[in-house]
Amino acid sequence: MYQGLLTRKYLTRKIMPLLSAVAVALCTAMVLVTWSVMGGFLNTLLTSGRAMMGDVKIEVSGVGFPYYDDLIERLEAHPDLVAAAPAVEWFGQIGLPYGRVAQAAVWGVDPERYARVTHYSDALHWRPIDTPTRRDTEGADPRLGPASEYFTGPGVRSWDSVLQRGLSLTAIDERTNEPVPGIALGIRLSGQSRPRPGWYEPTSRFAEDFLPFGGRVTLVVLPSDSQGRMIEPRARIVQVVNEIQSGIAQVDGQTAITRIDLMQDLLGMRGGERVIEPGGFRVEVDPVTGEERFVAPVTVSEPSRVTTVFVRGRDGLSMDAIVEATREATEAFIHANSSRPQGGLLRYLTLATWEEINAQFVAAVKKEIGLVLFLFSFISLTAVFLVWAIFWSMVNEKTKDIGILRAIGASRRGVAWLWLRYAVSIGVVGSALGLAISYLIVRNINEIHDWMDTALGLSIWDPSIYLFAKIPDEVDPLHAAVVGLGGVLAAIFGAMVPAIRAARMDPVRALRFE
Amino acid sequence: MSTLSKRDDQTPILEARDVRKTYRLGRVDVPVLKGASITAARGEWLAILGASGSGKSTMLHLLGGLDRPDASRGGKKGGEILYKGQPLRKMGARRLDRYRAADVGFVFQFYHLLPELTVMENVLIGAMVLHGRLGYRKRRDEIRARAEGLLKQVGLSERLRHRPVELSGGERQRVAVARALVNDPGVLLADEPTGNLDRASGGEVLESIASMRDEGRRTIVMVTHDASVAARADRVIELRDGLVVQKSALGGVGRAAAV
Repeated sequence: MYQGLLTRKYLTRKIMPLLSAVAVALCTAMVLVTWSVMGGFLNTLLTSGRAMMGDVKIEVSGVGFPYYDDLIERLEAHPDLVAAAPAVEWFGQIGLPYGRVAQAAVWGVDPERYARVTHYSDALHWRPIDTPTRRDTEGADPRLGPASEYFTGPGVRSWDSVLQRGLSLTAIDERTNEPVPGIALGIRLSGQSRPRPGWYEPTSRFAEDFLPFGGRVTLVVLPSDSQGRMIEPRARIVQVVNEIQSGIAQVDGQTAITRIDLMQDLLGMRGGERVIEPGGFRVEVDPVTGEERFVAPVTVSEPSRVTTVFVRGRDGLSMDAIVEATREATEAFIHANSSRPQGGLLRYLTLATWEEINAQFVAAVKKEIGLVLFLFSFISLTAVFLVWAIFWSMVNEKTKDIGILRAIGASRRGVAWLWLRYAVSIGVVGSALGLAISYLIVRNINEIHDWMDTALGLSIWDPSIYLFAKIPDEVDPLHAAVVGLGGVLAAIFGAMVPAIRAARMDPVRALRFE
Repeated sequence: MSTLSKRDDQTPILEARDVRKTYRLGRVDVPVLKGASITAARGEWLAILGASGSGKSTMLHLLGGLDRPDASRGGKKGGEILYKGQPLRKMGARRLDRYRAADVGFVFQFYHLLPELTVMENVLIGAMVLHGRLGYRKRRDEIRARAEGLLKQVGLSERLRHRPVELSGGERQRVAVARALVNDPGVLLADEPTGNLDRASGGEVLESIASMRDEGRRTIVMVTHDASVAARADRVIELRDGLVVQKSALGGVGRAAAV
């Protein structure tokens, strides 16, 4: 009882304990900000795959695999899986205006199915928006105004129509007025007016150059034959229909997405009759009529192939369950199709989650987080020593009070508890303050970073290194609880020795202390 | 005093038997008490008179359980402190804490109030220590009423919210007296209660102490170097160099002046 009274009085009437609380607060904030940003980075890394590839990727890289429609049907029939989408993944070159060339991962997708598996539709940059984006302090983003301000020619009339073109990956050929495959470029791929990573400054130049009049790029791919040998490069001029801003630096800087039929055409993956023995001008005798005739070419019917099928599981289901469901459907698919023409390719099907694909990187990030947290927690031991020093000094200062308390009957344990309780109070106050500070910092970390960049020229977060344009700004309540508890324990730990010293004090000497 | 007649037929409430106490200063053992014996009867006001260094404060600390007599060694016994016939030496730490909280109350020369607490809180804290959280909450009204009553009795009912720094020396000592008695102990141990006060304030404090004898139920053991202060007691003993050199059954105002 008396401990509570004295704790309250000491807390409100002394500066020293406030210093302890500030030390605890700063250390708590330091650890939690680090953990939130690094942990958020890992979390974003682990979940970002879903934005552009769904939960599981089934693939035979290179030559690809056939009968994927059957696979997709089986996957979508599984109760634990929501959708699946075919894709062709390849490397290519994008020929940009003024002779510039960019290397890119080119994905051919069925846009409608792809959007059901991923967040593709959310990743399209050119769309109507109501409010300026975070860094657009002057409201200069062309998407805020009417499209007609930029587009005076035929074709596009509104941002909605630009969005639709991106969603369908389809443009209209101006000469034939026929729909043709279009391409969406990663937002940093075009290299227009976005000199620094992460700074997606609103720009009208891209819109003016590419969007309204069917601006084009040249897509060049190097197909390979079934033996994996490169054959003649194939090129196609395609209209740019939108840009992709996924927030994943790798996608935004090195990826272009086009329609699957175009990629299948370019890479020879489109199914149909294939001549395996040309007839040429050889002549043979018809055994029935006895008349001479040209030898007919020998053809085989080949199924279309894709390299990849992206799978999305039911929301809330664990990744293990989604993988298991995918495996079940895939095994049934292989069993049913392996004896069909080119069915042998199905033996090479592999399943991988985003985390597995990036396993090495994820493991490195996890280790780095562990290391950083260890180092910062170690640094936070300064709080323990600070509390220890301040409490030692306070016990000195309050020696006479300790003697008085012992004289009026306080036990040694009661005196120790007085100081430990005091430490708990300081820990609670410090931790609460630290949590509040770190919450404010983390929630506004992107704004703070922008300000540092603008005012001080300090840009710490480079998306080309950290993959994501935005610094993670979520505080995990569990992490906050652990760090807060750590702060309280640090204060208790720091007060332990002074508390024991106070408890063991000889009351007579304490009373005579000057 | 009326208490004298009552006292005679009662067992001593507090007794020091052949008590020895040695302090170590650096490498030197300094014997402070060398076999001193005193007895305080129930309801008695006993004054221990002595010069500085005579061992009187040490004796008070031993009587109050704040310190222990020397351990017996080399054929020399350290002596015993007995409360109602029970040796304090045999009390465990918890019982001894309770003894200090409930059975005795201390008043010190330098008041020893807790500076962060108000007058009222300084008095209540003794009860908080004794009763603990639950016990205190259960008796809170009763304890507060007693604390207010004591402070009124020592003339401080208007200063309940003041902090010690806002009080005069005499007022502080009267708060200390109220604190010592908040748990209604049978024994009040006062160490030079007027030693730091002017004559007028000292007189007020002595009046307060006298008024707290509770119709002779409470024993007071007061240490002083001032014979005129000792004269307020029923009985005076003198300590010199760690030994009781003179016992006087005299007491009361005026008579102790002869000691």
